[in-house]
Amino acid sequence: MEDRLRDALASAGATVETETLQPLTARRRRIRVDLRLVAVGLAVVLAGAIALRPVPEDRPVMMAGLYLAADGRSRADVSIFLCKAEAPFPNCGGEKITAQEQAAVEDALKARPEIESYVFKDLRTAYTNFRREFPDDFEMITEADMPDSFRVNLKPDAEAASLISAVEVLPGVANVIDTKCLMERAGFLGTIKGFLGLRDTCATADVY
Amino acid sequence: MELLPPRAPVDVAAIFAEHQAGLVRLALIMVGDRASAEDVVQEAFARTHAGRGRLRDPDRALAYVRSAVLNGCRSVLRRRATVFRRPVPYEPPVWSAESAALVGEDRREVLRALGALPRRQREALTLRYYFELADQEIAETMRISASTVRSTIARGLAALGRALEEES
Repeated sequence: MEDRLRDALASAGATVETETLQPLTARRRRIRVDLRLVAVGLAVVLAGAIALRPVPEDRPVMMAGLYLAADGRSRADVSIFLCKAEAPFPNCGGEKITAQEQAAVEDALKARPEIESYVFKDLRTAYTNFRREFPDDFEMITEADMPDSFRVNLKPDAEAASLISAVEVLPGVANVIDTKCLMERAGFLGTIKGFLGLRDTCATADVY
Repeated sequence: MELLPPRAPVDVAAIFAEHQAGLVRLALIMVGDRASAEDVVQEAFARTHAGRGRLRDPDRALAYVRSAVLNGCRSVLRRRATVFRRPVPYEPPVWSAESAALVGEDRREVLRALGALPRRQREALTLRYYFELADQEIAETMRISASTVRSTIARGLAALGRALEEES
């Protein structure tokens, strides 16, 4: 078996002739929107807002918070985080959201005309996705750190603001993040716009 | 905090120049097509070059670079999986029947079976049986422990044997 494998690998490798390789260039790194490069200041504030743990000063918690707020690669427009036991949010009162409260949140979402679709993302899914993105880093983040959430996609051109203010006051809702707005701000263009004072499209600044 | 003695910076460009072909081959075996493989190595080079200030240990530089290439391959496969919902190459892999590059059906079978293994087993087997790396070197490249390397290779070989037996 080992010899067959060696032989097959060698022949696959031999299809690459050294002379035909494109020369490597040490070009400058492209500037691109990378979750991991988003401004740290923003992350600190955010982690405070989503708070996996009461003290968000350390980087892992910050990054996990930012990752959650950004909804990883799924790109929700609005993220609704639900209370965990001992969650440090005024709206939670230290209690986990009850089944009735969660059903009420879901009913509220169903009744909103501007919502195109929504999904419930439990902490396990959130953790699995987080781990897939950061397989080797932030070991101290555990599944128990993750909150349950609803991830909402809006219809084209729908505004997030009234949905956010309607949902964030419901019992058992820890907080609501305008994920789309956040990603626009965190991106390169958003940062430039911010410097130039052109920041306008996201009207939910009080969330962070 | 421990004070480290100052060291000469690692010559990233020289490492890549010397090992480019090997790295492209590694990437090729992982991602299946030449174009993606070259892209992965180019990207790994650009990144490593940009971050060369952090590469302090010349003895580990090659392991670091191989790691970067493996990571790049994982990203390519992940991107493909999101686009196509399953890991498929953009063009026929070198070991496909359409590609005339590889001589012999037996080799194609072996590579197909290798490609069907879980990522870790595939990586470990390639590093061992193509690059002939020692357990410790594989461990550093894959950022796992040497004992995990040993068990992964053993499992991978067994799985490969089973897959090939079923085929024939």
